[in-house]
Amino acid sequence: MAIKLNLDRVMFERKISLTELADRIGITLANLSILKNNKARAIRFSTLDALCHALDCQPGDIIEYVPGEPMADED
Amino acid sequence: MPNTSWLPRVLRWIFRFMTVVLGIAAIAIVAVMIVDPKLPGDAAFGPIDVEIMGQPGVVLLKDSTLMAHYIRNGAVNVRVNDAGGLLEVLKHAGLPLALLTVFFFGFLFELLYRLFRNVGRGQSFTRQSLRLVQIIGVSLLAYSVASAFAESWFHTVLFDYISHHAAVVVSGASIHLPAATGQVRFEGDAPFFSSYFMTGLLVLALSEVFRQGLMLKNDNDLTI
Repeated sequence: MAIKLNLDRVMFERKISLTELADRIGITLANLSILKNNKARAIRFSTLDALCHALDCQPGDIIEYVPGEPMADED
Repeated sequence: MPNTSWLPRVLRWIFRFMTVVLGIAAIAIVAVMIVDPKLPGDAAFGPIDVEIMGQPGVVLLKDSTLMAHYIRNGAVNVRVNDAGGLLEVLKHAGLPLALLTVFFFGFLFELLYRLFRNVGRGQSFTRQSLRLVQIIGVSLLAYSVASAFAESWFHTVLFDYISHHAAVVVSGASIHLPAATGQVRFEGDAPFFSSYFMTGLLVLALSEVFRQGLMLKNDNDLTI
């Protein structure tokens, strides 16, 4: 996918676990795992807002555009 | 999301009941085919008196279906001389047709049962439900063609037998039925304008709606 989430890197830098982050932003571990593994099709502004608030970062720290990589069209 | 509506549950059990009934019917038909019962040689069938609503003495049988034009005014008396032969025709041509019908509807009700089991669980837009709807649509289309051919063949065989082995009296006058040509013809608009064919097309069209619903659901599921 051309849009990549660098959640695992930001989490590593902030030294926060998946379970703790899921608790802080109020989404399930399964959904956070989908985000972390770049399996999500879309991300809500509310989720992004909660992530930026919990990780004390900007959206650009989490989301990255990787040129040249095709968008995966599942289905 | 579980569905709390009572309708899928009721339909599911109706479909299950119908599947079981049709399964029993299929076993009964197969049993008759295996046992192959026969009538005594001197057995006769009839006379059957048929009320006909139309002009007496005018019965159009040529180039038409056998039974449709019986419905005219007057009295028709049919007597089959060799009842055993008629039974053989009914067994060898009618029972496979009945078995085809029973198998198809049993299969259809089983598919509907599985579909409504998914719907009852709130899993309407899943790959399995989509596949079930598609199979139902294709099955209806296939059945419309198969049943039209099988029914036409059965009527041709039956008409051929009756034309050779039955005495037909219309309003007191004996008539001689023309011999069957041996050609199997589809009746009326069958199969392409039959209700099964149209329903099959409609169900296939609905399956496209299910497919788009499944895509929307997948997108929604992966929107975090």
